[in-house]
Amino acid sequence: MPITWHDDPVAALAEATASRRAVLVEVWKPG
Amino acid sequence: MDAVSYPDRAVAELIGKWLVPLRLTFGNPLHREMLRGLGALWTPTLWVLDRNGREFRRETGYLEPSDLHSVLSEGVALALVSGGRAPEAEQVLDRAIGHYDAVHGARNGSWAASLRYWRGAVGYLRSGDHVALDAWWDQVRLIDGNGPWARRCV
Repeated sequence: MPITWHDDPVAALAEATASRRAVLVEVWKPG
Repeated sequence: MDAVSYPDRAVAELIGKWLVPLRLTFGNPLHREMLRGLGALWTPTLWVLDRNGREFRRETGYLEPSDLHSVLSEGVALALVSGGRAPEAEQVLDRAIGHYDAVHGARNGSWAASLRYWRGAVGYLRSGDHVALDAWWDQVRLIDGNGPWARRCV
């Protein structure tokens, strides 16, 4: 089951509010 | 993490039920403010935040699947408690303890103690039951000996 990552912080927090979930944030450095 | 830990079935199910995944990238101007607010220094680092952006768990470095499952479960549980949802937090930690024990053998492994530490704390926050707290923390002492989790069970 692949994870679909948000890349918009505002949208992620809004979805968390709507779905009563917490937010998993991962910091990534490309390359 | 992408190749092994996130695709793990237990991890994916936990994330799907309890978490909204957000990946921030150094160098992305849209992420700069949040990265600064989180104090991000190293990759990979992950956080569990509540829907208001308050931090409940942070961990740095590669995590194999059962370790990641434990870290995320602790973060979710603490965010749930903060939101007045302690019974759900207890369920999350109970499942995490069962999963971790199934992978590593009962009461073994580096996260076995911390999961039980928090399970005791979350139960106490809901019930105020010292006896139940001591029962969980007795398990922590049994697992961790004189380690860092046992020493904080006072």
